[in-house]
Amino acid sequence: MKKQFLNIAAGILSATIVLTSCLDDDGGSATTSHLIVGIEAESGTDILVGADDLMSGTISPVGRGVEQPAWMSFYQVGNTLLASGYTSDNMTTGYRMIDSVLTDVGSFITELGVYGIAEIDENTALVAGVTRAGFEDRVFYTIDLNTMSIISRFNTKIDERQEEGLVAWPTGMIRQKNKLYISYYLMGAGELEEAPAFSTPNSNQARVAIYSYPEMELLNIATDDRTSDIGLYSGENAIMETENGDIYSFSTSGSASYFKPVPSNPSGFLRIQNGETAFDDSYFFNFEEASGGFKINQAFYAGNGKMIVKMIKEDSTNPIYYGASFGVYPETPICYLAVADLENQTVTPIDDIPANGGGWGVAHMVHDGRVYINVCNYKTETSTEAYIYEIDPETATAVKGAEIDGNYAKSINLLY
Amino acid sequence: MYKSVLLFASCLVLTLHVQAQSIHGVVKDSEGEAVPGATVMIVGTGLGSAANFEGVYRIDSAPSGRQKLKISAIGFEEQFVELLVKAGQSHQVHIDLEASSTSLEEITIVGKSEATQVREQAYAVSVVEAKALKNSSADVNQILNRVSGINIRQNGGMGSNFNLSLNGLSGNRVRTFINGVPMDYFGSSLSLNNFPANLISTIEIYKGAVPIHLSSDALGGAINIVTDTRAMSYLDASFSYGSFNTQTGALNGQWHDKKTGLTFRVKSFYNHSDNDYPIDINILNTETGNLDEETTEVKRFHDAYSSQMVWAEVGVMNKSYADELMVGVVLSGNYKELQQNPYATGTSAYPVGEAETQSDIKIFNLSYRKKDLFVKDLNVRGYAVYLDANEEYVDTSSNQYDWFGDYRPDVHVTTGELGRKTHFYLNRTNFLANANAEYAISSNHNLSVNYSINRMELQGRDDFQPQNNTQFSNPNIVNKQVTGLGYTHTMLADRLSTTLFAKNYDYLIQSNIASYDGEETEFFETKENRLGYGLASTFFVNDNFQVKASFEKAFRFPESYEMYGDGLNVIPNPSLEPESSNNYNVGIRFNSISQRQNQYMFELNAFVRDSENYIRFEPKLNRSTYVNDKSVLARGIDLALRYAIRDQFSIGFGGTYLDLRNSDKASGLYGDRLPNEPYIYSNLILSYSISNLLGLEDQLTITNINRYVHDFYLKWESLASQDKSVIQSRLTNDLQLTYSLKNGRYNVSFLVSNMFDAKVYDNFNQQNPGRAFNLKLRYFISKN
Repeated sequence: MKKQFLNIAAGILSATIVLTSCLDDDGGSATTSHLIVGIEAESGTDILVGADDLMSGTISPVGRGVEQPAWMSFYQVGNTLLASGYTSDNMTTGYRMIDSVLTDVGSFITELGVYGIAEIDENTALVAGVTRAGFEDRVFYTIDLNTMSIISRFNTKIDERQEEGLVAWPTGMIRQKNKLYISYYLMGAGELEEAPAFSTPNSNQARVAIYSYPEMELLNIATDDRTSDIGLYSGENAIMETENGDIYSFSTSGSASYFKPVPSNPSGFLRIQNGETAFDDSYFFNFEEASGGFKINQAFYAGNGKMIVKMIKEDSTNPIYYGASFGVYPETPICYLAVADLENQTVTPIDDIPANGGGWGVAHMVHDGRVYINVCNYKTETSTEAYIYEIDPETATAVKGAEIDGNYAKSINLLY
Repeated sequence: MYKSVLLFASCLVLTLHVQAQSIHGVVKDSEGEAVPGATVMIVGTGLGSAANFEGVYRIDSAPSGRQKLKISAIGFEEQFVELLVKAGQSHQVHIDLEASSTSLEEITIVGKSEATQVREQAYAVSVVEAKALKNSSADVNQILNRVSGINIRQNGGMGSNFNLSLNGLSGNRVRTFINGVPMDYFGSSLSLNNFPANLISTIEIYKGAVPIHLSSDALGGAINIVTDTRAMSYLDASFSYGSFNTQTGALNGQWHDKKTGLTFRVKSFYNHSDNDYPIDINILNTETGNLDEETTEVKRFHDAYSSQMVWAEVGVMNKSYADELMVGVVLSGNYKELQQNPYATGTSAYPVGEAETQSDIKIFNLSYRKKDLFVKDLNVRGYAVYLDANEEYVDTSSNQYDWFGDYRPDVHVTTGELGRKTHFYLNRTNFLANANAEYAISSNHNLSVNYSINRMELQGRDDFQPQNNTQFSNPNIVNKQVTGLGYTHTMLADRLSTTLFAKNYDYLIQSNIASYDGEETEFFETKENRLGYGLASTFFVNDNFQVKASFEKAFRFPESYEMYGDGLNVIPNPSLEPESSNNYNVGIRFNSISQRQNQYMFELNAFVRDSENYIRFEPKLNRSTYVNDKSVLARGIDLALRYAIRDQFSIGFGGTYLDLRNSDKASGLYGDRLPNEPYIYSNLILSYSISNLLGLEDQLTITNINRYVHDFYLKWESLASQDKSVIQSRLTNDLQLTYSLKNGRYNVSFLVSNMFDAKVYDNFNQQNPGRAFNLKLRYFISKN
């Protein structure tokens, strides 16, 4: 009798299992396009989507792309796209085109959260691991991209000032031959009353730490009092190399860029000439003056001496501006785009792009002399919009391209 | 021909004659309450009747002459009444039943239990009678998981985070009560996954529409755990021991003096588990940062949990001014180690080895109930509860652990293991009060009113984080008041019963949000008022076939931590709106007549939950937040089947299909299933019991519980096509043997859970325990 019941039970159970089909988790359709757009989809899920065309139609993560485990940041080194973010562990995952399919090529886990990745060479990346508060070593990890593993660690405090309660937050990295340049800003560690976490009481100076590479011996800390601390929290790589090997840095001096108190020195660009370990005394591009009162929020190099600048005109005394550049869809957008000519020290607003929202960095790609950039905006109380724009840096004109289906694009990359 | 006509005529005359004499009356208990479902039989005739809702029974065509009536009902002593039935007359016989002394353990198939009464309310309700489960070592969660329409997901072992979903709505949308008092205010030391079955009389599960006396902002239903409150003396003691050093002890007793009405009641329990169950992990190579491709079995090593509670009450029962008037005090404590971030997906490569939480709670309660206060049929009850809870959260260690429990010291000197260093103290005080009155205007009209208030104050400090210090330095206040009005109308000889109700919600929240550096705070105040209403109706086609329909427009207001963060992992979202839902339920219930030897039961419910501003948790580790989804629609069915042969074998099946989707047309995710929500789950329970095995009033029961949850996506189903995270389907099988002696005075129960050692993953893909054993001993004695 009991056996009979067990048989019935087994029958019902197996029927339940057989009748209900299983989820498709064998990978689904593959991402084959070489143009990869990282999209924060509606509801906040990040997806790497293959795009056929940046200039028309809609780039959509619906039914396509590679799901990301968490809120991510994306970096490209050589032909490897690296995704790192708020995963359970500090896990960075690499993607490459293998047999024309975007493929997960492995992951590595770092002890500290990743806040910047730079190229050493096309097979080697340098990863900055930082704690968000307190006096603690920053760890620079050298990564072999072929095996996606850590090959060395270098611990440094860069420029920690315990008596002032300040630590160095790296904002940019460049390896040039046997030197490594690390720009940073001095940020409150949250340990002293007078320097709460993220405060910037001592930022009226630009600083770049220069190390020998790969020995990682500190050669010099280059400083300059004409402008303020370089870069901003979780922003674009704040030091950039031009075709002739000169390094340019941007300083925001902006309340909207998370500086409090706001540095009194103007926002602008500085230069370190090829091979040098100090700022070029003869060069300072006072962006604030040249633009008629705008401050740099983010900038990236478009080639041929042109910087694309996301700029903000702010009332630094109004607390509403504090950190406002991280607002992706403000009702009143405050970010504008402009082309800055590094040599002539001129600023040309890109009038084809409307005032727009901010973010953590700017999704962009420079290709064939053109710049592709994400522009997002508040639309109505319940909706937002994001488009790719193509900028011609020579003429400071732009054309509206594909629409992003989702919140906004976080990255635009071309992988071969 | 003539003959047959004569015969027919005489039959007719006889029939008419017989029909003319009847017996009717009302069956009541010692408190004057109707005993629905009591059976009244004329001994030796096979004639009889079952009492209806109002306890009214009627036996037509009773044979004339001296007759003996046998009256029986579950939980009551059998009673016999003799009477002389006179031809052509109608006889009124009212019966008062005495509660039976061994009622807790008595199993009677005739008659309707209290549970059946609740089940037959117009609300969509499921009832679990814990009687059969008291011996089991299961906690309430495990018991609830066997109810169709319910799915409980747990992160790990005893004391771990869990999420209960009832007909498509989950988390705080489903409110849990203990004897009508909202349970969430007891904090983590008293929750569904540590509340022992011994304490429970029944569990009522209201799916969708919630009666006004369960007074809270329940959006998607309510679960009310009813503990035994009968006027009797009893002692119930149990202890269990199982795998992973899991121990539970419960000691409950009541002493009641019939003469003076003086009553002492104690409920207490102790739970502990090391939760050191083995899991499979990919070991991290700390040099290269790569995870091992192969998995290694390790034991969880920092996941212990213990909790204890003592609840002592003193007062009087069965007095003219009160059926029950008790004051009590609850002391409870709770300690939990954290093995990893509770919102982490999967198993962390770096386990947590030192972070922990603990809480101490003091509660003072006063409860009162009285039937027929001043006038007949005016029933009142009320409670007041004051609660003072101190919670602590500690994450200060700089050590870095691996899965073998070893660590490297001082690896991250400025941070804890889960985030910024924190030692967070949170004090929570709550004042809750509820008053309820019901009045039967006539036998067909019943009116009820209910008022409840719930005021919570949070205040805290942090030894490390300035943000928490500032945010919680001034009290954050949440005040909810709910006023309810209900009206029940019965007609068609009580076969059709309809309840109309309305609830007015008043909500006030005052809170501070601090900036990251703790330098600035902003004060927020939200005041809301909403009117909810509903209707529940039931119709008995016949005694065994019931149709139900109910509707409620329900609201839920954001909790303080949903709106303003918890100071730990949840970041504030002050723009969070209250959520509302239109809940529709229809159901049919069909059961065999009680005289049958083999019993069957069939219950089918269909439900719709049309929600607006659905509050959904977005897990992003320490940037986790609550968001409003504009429009979410849940539709589903749940089915329960049971077949029992001679009270010996039974087979039960419960199955749920849930279609829970984003229904915001403006959204790009329109039509998508909500992420991280199981949508097909079922269970199958087989049970076999033998009585008088050794002739010692004993009973052996073997139960096999099988549970299946279909696989589902962790994130939105329509987004992306590669590397989609899936929570795999799970099938677990439990086997339980229970042996009772002396009518349930001595009990032994042995449970093997997950007997095939299946690898199962649940909430956020965290691995659950494999095979586990548990032995429970229980002693129960009662006297009237």
